[in-house]
Amino acid sequence: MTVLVGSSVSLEEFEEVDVFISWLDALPSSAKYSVLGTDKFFIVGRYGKEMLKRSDFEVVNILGKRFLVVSGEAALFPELFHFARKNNATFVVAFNEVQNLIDLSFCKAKFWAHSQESDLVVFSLLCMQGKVYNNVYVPLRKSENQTGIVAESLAPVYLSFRDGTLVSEEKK
Amino acid sequence: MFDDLVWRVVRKRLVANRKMSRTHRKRKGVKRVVCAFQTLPKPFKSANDFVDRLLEEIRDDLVFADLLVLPRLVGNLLYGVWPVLNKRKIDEIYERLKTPYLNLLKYISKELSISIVAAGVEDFKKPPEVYVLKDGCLIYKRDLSGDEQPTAVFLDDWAIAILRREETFSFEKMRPLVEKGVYTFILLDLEEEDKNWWIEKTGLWARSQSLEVFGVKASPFGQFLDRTFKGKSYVSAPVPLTPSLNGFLTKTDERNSKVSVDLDLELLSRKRHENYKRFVSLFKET
Repeated sequence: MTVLVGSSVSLEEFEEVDVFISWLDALPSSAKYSVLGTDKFFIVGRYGKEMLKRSDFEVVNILGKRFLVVSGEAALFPELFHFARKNNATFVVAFNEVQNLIDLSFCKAKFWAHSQESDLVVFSLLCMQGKVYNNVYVPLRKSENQTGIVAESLAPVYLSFRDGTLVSEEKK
Repeated sequence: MFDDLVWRVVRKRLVANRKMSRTHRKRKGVKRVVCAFQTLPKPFKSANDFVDRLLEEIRDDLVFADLLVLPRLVGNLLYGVWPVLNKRKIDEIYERLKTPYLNLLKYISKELSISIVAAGVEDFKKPPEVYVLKDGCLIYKRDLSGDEQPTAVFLDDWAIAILRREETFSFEKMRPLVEKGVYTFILLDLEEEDKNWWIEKTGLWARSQSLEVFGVKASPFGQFLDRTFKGKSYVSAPVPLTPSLNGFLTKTDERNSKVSVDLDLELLSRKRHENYKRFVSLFKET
């Protein structure tokens, strides 16, 4: 399963993307599945068509894997990640808006901690003053560099997973 | 017979009679935690020697210190009281140190009018008890090898909880305590393995971020008889409360023996995301 975290502009560089994760954007028809969101709501689409729109959080099936998608403050609490695990989720996608660098650092630390505790892969999109930071965290033992941090940047991130485990990454 | 004779001499040296006092300046909403002897000192020659070296180490913090944390193994270092160490009888020595060490802690707590968190003497067969003392009295003890749940321990106007290592890797045991207003969690650990900081951060540091609490980890570093301990000690806090934005208020390396830090409980209370109550049911339902 290939996952691209970034803007729809970056999507054009790839022939096939299974899951496209982005801060609110137009639903692209080139990705099999899209998960787009903001701090207030999120949309899950398939080949450009909207399947689901929710505020708060929801567990969704995408290509045989369960994703917990969450918008806003709910993602800050470990209970939600416990809920994700109990619902057999492998991935968490979280959309949050932050006001300043302090909150940005705090949210990054929180999502890293949630990933380590819950053993889940976490895609955290943090929007600060119009810029979206794409962060990807995995449990330490599944992390190539043993830090649990796959990406923390403004650049798009292209990842391949096999059975829920990260097998390769590419930053554009 | 000979052992009993030695014990009669040694027992006297395990009783502290050194006079000490301090003026304690309490501050509203801020608590100073001082962890001493993080780098294992040389064995103590007497209880008074213990007190002298402790006072030397925490001298700069005496006025403001609200809680003194002593790591594991410190009580065992009183084996230095024996004129000749019989390593074959070391287990017996540890056993004999247990009560005098607790009495010494009570003495320090009373004389300095300070709360103390300290582990009992190790027997290296199972983790020891952890004591909390206040005004010279033992107000709480937790057997780290037992299966009892952690509980809130109240020290005047703030609450702490003592954790076992495995309890620091999940929010589950800690959340009920946070709901009761416990925002300071203490772990006394003992580690021979040198873990890197990323692994270290998966414990109390991570809970400091997810639950928005203070974490105090004391784990001694240094040589003890023929064993080497490579623990890391630190005080963690939510990132916005740490000046370097790294989630650590302070951390030791092998050069620092003391950890001293002010916990701003009032600021923490103001900054905490309290909406978690909405999501507690998610955990309880599942």
